[in-house]
Amino acid sequence: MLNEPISAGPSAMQRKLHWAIISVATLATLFLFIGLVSGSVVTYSLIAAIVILCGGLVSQRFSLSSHWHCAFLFCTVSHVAAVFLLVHLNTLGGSLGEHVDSTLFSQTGFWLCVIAAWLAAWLCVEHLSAIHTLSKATNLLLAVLIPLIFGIWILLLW
Amino acid sequence: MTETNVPSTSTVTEHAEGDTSAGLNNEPSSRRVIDINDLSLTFQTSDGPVYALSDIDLDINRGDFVSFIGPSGCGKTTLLRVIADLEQPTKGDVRVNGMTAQQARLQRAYGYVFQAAALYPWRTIAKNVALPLEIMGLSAAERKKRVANNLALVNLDGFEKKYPWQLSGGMQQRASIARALAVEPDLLLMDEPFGALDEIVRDHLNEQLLSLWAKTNKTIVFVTHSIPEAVYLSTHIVVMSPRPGRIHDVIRSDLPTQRTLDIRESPEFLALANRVRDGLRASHSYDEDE
Amino acid sequence: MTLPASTTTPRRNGLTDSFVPVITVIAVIMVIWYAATVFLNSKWQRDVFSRADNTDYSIMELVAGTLSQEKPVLPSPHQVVQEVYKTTVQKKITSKRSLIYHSGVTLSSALLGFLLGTLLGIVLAVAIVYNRALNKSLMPWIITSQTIPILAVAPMVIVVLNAVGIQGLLPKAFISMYLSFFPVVVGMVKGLTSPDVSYLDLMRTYNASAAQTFWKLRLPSSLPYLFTSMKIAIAISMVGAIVAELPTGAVAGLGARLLAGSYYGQTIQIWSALVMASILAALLVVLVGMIGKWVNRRMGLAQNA
Repeated sequence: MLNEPISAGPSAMQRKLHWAIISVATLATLFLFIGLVSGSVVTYSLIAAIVILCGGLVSQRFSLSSHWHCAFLFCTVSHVAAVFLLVHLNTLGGSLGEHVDSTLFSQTGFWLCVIAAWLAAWLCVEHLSAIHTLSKATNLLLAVLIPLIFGIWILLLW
Repeated sequence: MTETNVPSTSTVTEHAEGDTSAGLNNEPSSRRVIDINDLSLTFQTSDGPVYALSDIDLDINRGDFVSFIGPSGCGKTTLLRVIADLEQPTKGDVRVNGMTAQQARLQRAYGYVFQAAALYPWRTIAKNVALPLEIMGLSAAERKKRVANNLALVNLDGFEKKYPWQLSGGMQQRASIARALAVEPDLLLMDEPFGALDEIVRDHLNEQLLSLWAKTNKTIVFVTHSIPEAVYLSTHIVVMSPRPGRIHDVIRSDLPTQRTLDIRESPEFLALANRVRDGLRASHSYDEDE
Repeated sequence: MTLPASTTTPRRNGLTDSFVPVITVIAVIMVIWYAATVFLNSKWQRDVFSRADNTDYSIMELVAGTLSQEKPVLPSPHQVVQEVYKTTVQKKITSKRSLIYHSGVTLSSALLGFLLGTLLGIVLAVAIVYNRALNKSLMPWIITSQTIPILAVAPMVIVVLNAVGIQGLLPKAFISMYLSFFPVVVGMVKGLTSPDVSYLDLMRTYNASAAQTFWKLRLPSSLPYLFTSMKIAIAISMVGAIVAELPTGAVAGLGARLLAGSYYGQTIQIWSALVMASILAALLVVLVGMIGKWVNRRMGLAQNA
């Protein structure tokens, strides 16, 4: 839309987001670990946080200049994390309102993990949007996929 | 005037084809404003690759007035845009004032004039000319001074408070030139600036441009598709051919630098024009589309 | 654009251009309205006459009867005018029966929603233009959001907001905002991307930052589009405010008047509220249009618009 020259790698904003996701995932892991140690049943969320953290690190390490790779990475990472987070919510399901097992750390950790997962999904969308191809078929696929992922994640957030 | 050492004979010196590596006047490279080496630009389109520019070698020295001439699709506008860092080459490099094209653009080393005047309709002429100066961050007093100077240079003083729609096409183009000159660059890049104007206005503006060049001694790169205009204005004429876009010939003009419109009747002028036309014909510019 | 604006083209007077056709249209509508009133109310009128054992009535009596029923199927224009006059001029503004009071209530939420919607629309448009990801992911959802019928969404939203404790003006303004942000987003996106590529190239040659390009080029060139969108937005936010008053049985506002009228079969009341709403909406659109024209002229775009 902006008639700007096409750059090959991640843009400045995307790189900032990469670092953001690593920091949030690290914090989440930390909090959840403390929560786990102090007795809360937060295993699933902890796994999710670790998954996101690994994804973030991998994206940095290999300095993936291909948008497809980055998008795929973040897509898998975010959806896997989402599954784990939902399972965690499910296990809490019966005791909603009782907050028996949750400490401040585990609660904060959980929400941080949610934020990190959402960031991962957003980065997936960002990378998908940065792909420039001439193939009409690919463009069509992307035009459907991107809003779909975005919508799913609004739903998941809710 | 002494910088362009054009001999005052009436013969035309034709440059040998392809032998442009030593510079158009055999000048040392410190006087080279633009240095293009082995430049190629290929666009990838859904119909396959388009070879817009192919193996371009060209050097332009300070004070030259260089015209790019050729049919549509020969890459003359693309070449100008590469010099301006508005397009990126796929091979080779461009040096402007010794720097990369991007550095030159960041330092605002040139002024660019489009075929359409591209003035902002919501700004007065004075504010339009001041636009690049605002972006550069100059003080209001400095802006006012430069605006006044440059409008006087193009004979538009008195029109500061008018809006673009109140001016004729020729005057708008002159304002556009004043805007390009406002940053006081040494290099002026002009893309068929008079193409949309009628012949009478164009002749008048050609005269004005030439006197401006004489007064300020800038280097001007001028894209045109009019042979008389190219021969009248330039010290060097670069004939380009299409599909793929490449330089067919560089013709040096030995017309005196002080020119009036009458020179267009002189035998030297006509000989040069024929030379250009022959070059265009030889490079298949007049062929039908394959 | 090659010649200065000379006297070769006759001066176009906007007033006479639109005034006469509008008056003609209104006159035609009046005629059709009167005819329809007589036609629709005649059955009831005949019943009235037969109940009063009045078997030989003239056409004139029939017509006169149809035009002055108390609870007509279709009120006649002068009945509506009378009712409007009664509830505006002859009542105190603070009275609960005053049409001006009700108009004020609806107007305030419509205007608030319009302002919020315009702001939201502008912010979203800027974000969409400057971020490819948002452009591709958000835009389809924005368009989808407008395909949901507002009559279905409004009650849900108002109930939810009331449950959270937000009542009165804000839920209605929210519905108005929901409806009015869409034309603004679409118009602004078009406006922000309207500059020709040569203008953008020129900015690149000046090495202008993205912010400078935005403030000096994109924003000024998007203003005509913004005002066009705002005309649509303000009309639709009036609709939103009225619709928002319907489902929850509000007691104040034009929508409330409509509702109350339909409960008690007071068709004249319904129509007077309707006419008032139409007049207000028309006035607002004209107002925004005038402001838009003034801005365009100030920016020298009048010749291009």
